[in-house]
Amino acid sequence: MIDWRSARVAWQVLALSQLREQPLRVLATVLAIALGVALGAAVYLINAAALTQFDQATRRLIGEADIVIRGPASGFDQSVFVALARESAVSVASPVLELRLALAPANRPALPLLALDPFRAAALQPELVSALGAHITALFAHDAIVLSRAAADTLGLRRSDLLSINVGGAVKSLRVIDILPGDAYPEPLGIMDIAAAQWTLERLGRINRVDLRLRPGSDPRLVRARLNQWLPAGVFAVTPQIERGRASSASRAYRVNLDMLALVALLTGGFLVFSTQWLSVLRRRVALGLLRCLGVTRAQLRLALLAETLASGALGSALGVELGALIAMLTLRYLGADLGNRQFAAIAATLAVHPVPLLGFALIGTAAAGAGGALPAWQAARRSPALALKAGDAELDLNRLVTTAPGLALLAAGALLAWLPAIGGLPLPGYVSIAALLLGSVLLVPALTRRLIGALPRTGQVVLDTGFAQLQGSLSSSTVSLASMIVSFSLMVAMAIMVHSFRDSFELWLAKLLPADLQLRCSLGSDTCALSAAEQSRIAALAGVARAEFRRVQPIFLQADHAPVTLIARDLPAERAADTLPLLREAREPGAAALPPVWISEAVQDLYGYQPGQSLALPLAGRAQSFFIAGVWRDYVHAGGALVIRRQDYLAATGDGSANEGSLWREPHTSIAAIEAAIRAALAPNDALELISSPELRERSLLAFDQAFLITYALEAIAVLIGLVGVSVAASSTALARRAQFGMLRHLGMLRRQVLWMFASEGIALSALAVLYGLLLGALLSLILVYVINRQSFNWSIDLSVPWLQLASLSAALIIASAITALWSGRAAMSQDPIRAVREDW
Amino acid sequence: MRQVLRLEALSKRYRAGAAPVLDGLQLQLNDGEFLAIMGESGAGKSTLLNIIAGLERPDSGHVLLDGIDLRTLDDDALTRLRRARVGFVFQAFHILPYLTVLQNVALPLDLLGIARAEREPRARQWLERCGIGALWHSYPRELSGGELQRIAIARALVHEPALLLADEPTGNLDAATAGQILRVLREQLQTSAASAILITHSRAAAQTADRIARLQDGRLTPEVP
Repeated sequence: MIDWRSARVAWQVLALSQLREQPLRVLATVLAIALGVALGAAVYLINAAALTQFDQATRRLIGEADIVIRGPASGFDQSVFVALARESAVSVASPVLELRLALAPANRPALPLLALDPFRAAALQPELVSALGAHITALFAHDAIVLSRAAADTLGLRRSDLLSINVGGAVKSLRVIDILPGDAYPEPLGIMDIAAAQWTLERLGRINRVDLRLRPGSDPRLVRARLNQWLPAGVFAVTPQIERGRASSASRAYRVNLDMLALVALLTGGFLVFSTQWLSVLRRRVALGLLRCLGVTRAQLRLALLAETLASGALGSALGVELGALIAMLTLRYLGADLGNRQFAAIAATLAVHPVPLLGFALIGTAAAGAGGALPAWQAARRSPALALKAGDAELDLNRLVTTAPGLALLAAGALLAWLPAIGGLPLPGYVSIAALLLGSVLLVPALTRRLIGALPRTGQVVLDTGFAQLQGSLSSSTVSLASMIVSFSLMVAMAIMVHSFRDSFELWLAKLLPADLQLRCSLGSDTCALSAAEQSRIAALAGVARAEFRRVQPIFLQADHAPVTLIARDLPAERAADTLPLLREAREPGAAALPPVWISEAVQDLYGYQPGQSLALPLAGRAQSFFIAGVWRDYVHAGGALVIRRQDYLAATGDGSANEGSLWREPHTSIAAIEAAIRAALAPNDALELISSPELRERSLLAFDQAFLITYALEAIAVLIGLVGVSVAASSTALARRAQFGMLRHLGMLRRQVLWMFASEGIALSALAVLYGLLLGALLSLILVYVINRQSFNWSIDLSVPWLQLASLSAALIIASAITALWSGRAAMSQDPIRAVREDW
Repeated sequence: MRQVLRLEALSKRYRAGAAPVLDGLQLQLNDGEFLAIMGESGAGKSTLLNIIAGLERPDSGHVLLDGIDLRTLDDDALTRLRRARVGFVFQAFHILPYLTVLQNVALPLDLLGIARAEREPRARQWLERCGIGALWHSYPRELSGGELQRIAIARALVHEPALLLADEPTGNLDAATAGQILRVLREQLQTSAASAILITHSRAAAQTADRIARLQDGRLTPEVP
């Protein structure tokens, strides 16, 4: 049974010593935990806000439907709705045309439009329809539209204003008849009557969604299965859960990766606590020995030391939670909720702070600090007080950790785990692999330290040799300092290699896919704007245009429970696909002559299991058309997957010769500005095209890439900071503990600067070892990040590319920082005269 | 007369195959007795002290402190016994620099659970007895070696232990200060009625004790004071 009172006395004595003598070190550990908790809490709060927003929006859209009939944006014949309404199990059937409106001018994002039958929809989306209020009959006008508050604010429109949209190349005006209250729907949205929308948007007889409520007693699973048997190709009966889950499942890997990054930051902070506490216990060994002599038991001492780190952890966690909430609030207000993941953009996401999850983060932070302090507390309590009180004995026993078996076993386990597939679409074995490799490498540090430091050469220079001898004689503290530097540096190296590899691959990919001078597109993401065949011919014939290529891009559904796949129909000679697409694999054998080729992206390969050489049925114009999978290409844009087919095959299957994207090559000596002006003049008054030069598009894309990695860059910075703090703490703790030794060396005649350089040489030797080991370990971890985590999370591959200059700079920075902190700490430790230094007990 | 300490056939060696540091050592210490142990460096004097205090375990033999066989106790029980019955004075003083003189002296009482209202007056009383009552609010860094050792003596006796163990208490002091410290130690032992064992190289220091023994070849042999 623990005598709590004596434990409390011991804790008070020890805590007092820490606060009085090492306040900056206490602050460093508190801040290290705070940073890790803040990052985790901020990422969680921002993602939660965005998810809540999406969920609320989708619930409003789907309402109380039991089944949703979902088709491609191009729609299906509304006779399907009639057949559905006649189904015996169906109580209410509500037809919907759900599109993304191209706005004019084209430099604004497309506006989501929900066109519905208000009377039928009233039963299924009551909140949305009731918000229409008295304007429900005014909605029947062919040009009437109701906007959500978010849409009105974004577009700067008020009631009775006109909204210009682009429909198939012509500009039309819609009249804003009402603006919904802010709480009716949180995202930008336009609502029209379905018949008015079909007329105005030239979609007569077409719908793309039907919401169904079933009669009581009907089994939705059975009804879905029956419906899916006769629905046209590319049209599926899905559950509302699948609809609601699309946003969260599409972003799940991204969110989990961010959470893992935050966890890494926290663990790095926990490791700093470990190294700081280890050195602190070394420094206070005599006090600890004295307390044991005076009657503090091992358990009480262990508890007192643990309480120290738990207190720092609790304080850091409390600070971190506040800081995380502040970061989340500022990020949502000024940067948005997507954290760089554009598919996850939620404009009006609001911060909701619930105490329970934040308490969870606080507990995790405290536990990380406690875990960091556990080994030093255990070791200190084990130590013989008689030895601790003996002068000159300053080493905690790390002999048990010199064995290499556990470290090697963890490395082997980590290597094996890296080969395992994802679980539930998440690279969980990959995360565990990284943890095992990191921990295994850290456990090998004592043995490594013993070998490497033991092998430091005698140089014949008294300053260097004394410094190296000190390192060899203080393996325990050297090991801890080394391990601390290795952990933070290797994480830094791993992330730097991963991000550089990704950026490199992305840049090369952009260069391959954007060879033309000018890109044009009809209001990105819209469903209503397209260039007719005549317009395409007019553009291609313009003076200054050497070559023009047009594409039809649209989302289609391959399976009910997957996000839509992007179909890209483009001019593409099959035998020269590798010249145009960043192909990774091609089918070994040519396909059956009758089947047209399709090239699938890596995401389609991973998510659907298709392979080159197989056939694939694509739903085009309501019919399943068979294609031959000719190859796999790299795609960094379409997370749900993308398919490329030849335009002539698309035209043959659908009769649709329109295009919504294009690439132009200019004649020599023709400026891009001149071509842009010519295009606008040729298509006037159609102002639906967005024109951008390829270099500018590449630049924008790379900027978006860098924004997406803001969190990763933040984590790199935190790892650097914690690493440097660890170096500084180790140097100053060691310097303080060796004041008497420095004084003795000065008595023997060593100059002050010689003592300083001796100390600095120790720091440089240790940091050089840390850099070498950290580079190797970081490179190993980066392989897992590049080939396992990244591939399994996002279903695309990247090529390894090492940022040699950046790594060299980081390495030099760490070594220089070690030297500087050693010099600074040494100066501080020698600030008192040598006579007093050798007199001191402590 | 009450026997405070009895050592029976105590043996200890540090490495297998090496000569024993303690070899069948016998010792008896009665209530209020003051014993000085002399010996050359490396003879095992500190080892003997550590075994008596329960900080180390002998290879064989028995240590009975106030009739309690230390071999029957686990580490926690040894620690509690030490807390209540033993006081220490070290050569290097080992006064905690971030506590005041009063807090340092009161620390053993605090560990025993004695309330502040009682422990501080007791601590001040002992500081007065050791001649440094005026320094109760000072910090150790402001004090001389002699003053620090007086604090250590006060701390060692404040909880009225049965046994005081002093390991070279005058080793870091000049001759004059050492003499003062030994006088203070002798006086306070008489006041507290504690028994004491003093480890020393110094014949002069040893002669302040009631009896002297020499540790040689692992055993104690009496010497004439």
